[in-house]
Amino acid sequence: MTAPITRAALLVPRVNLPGLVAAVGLLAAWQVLVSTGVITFVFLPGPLAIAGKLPTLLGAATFWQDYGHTLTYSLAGWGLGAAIGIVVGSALGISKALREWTTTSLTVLRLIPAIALLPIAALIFGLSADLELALVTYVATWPVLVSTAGGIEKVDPLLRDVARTLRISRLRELTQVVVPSAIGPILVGLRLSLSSALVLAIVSEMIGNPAGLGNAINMARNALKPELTFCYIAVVGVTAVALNGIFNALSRVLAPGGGQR
Amino acid sequence: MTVRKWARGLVPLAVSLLLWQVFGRDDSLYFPRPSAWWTAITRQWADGSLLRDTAATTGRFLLALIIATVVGALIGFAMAEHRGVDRSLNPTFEFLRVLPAAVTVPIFVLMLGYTNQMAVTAIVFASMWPMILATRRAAADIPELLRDVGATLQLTRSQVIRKILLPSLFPAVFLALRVAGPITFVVTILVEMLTGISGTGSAMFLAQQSYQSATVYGLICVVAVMALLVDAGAGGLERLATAFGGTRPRRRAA
Repeated sequence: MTAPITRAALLVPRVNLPGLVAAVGLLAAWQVLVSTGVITFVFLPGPLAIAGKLPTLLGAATFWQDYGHTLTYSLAGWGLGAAIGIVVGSALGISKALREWTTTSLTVLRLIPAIALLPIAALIFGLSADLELALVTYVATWPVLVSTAGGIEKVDPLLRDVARTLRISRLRELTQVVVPSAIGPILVGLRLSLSSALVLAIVSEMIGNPAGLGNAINMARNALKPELTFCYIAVVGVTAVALNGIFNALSRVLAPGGGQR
Repeated sequence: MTVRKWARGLVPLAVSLLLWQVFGRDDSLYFPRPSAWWTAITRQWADGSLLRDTAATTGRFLLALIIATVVGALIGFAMAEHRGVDRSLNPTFEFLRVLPAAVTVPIFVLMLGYTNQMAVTAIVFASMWPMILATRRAAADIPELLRDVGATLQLTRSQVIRKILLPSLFPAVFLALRVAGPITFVVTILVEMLTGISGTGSAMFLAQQSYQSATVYGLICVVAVMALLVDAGAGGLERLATAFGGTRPRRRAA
């Protein structure tokens, strides 16, 4: 069914030439429009000016501190949220009664946009790192919770019967049979919550905890340094793509075939 | 889900709110009780600010959703119809798509200032991606047979687009609204909070800055109701779309 894979095809990555040309073309057009003064937005620098600022930014120690802060809190909140999501989601997936008695409440809570809770988090935690961690954890919990509950609910009852027949304990049944068979949906939830975690970390740094990349973006904008603002945005974009890529690579290694379902 | 099951599921939330009401206090800085939220919201209603803010948010949300739908559907359609367009735009889009809305807002602020135009542009930019993806897939899935019918009937290119292709895309567009609607609403609130442009998002933030806790909780309830309405509306469109698209062949045989 599949085309024969030659050694050369494996070694040379396929380059999407039109895609590359279009991306470069768009950047060139942007540069030309800005340098010739056709576009008259006050604070729109050309790509060359932006690229020129990038080495300065990447060479600054404060940048790496900000970057480390944002990454640490995104990943910490993601991890916490994922743990809560998997535990609560498993409970919901296993127990029909629990599901029946909570689904509507959870749906109502889930529909409230997480950012709408930022003002409350700011009241409770103050403008602190706790606010950021709480909000990132909260937003990261939901996708994992929902997909874990859904995935476990759909686990083949036969598998669980086998576990019962083999008389393994409930805990082993959960950790060795139920959760592994729901790994596909769980991975989907984890991936969704990873990107939300990064977003909420940056948002809470912009309007809550004055630290990290979010705060740095604010300062660059307020200081009317558009080149710097664009640099930060490029950095965040690359980080988002990279996190997604690393997650996909890891899930392919750790749970082969799991993410494809 | 039956009404009874639905009501049963609401019990934990209702009991928590009830306990909160019984044991909470009106003047608590962190956890004012629900009756205080109601008082705060009726005060906002009386001075007209509640209506003004929710109207601004709703209008901004609907305008952005309509623009995102039209622009997204057109781009998605163009990408599906022309393989060259698809291959050219894909890498750029893959990058732009993952940019969190929060980080692109400062760029639009720098370009357009703190204006409603900026807010709508930023919201559209963040919420048109699901529409592009859904339309692109749907347009690629239109059966060859339908196009052949157009050729047999000797329709012109524009007639084919108008009479065959666009109608085949409607279900997909409605289905994509199921995803795009809630995203657009969240981004609307986000942009209002980030830029202070008047609306429910910024009202919430103002209340927090002046430590009017009860107002913050009340406004969160308002946002929750709006989000529920958006979700219900999107769900309705989804049912409409499946009713429309149910008889159509789903996919060409590979």
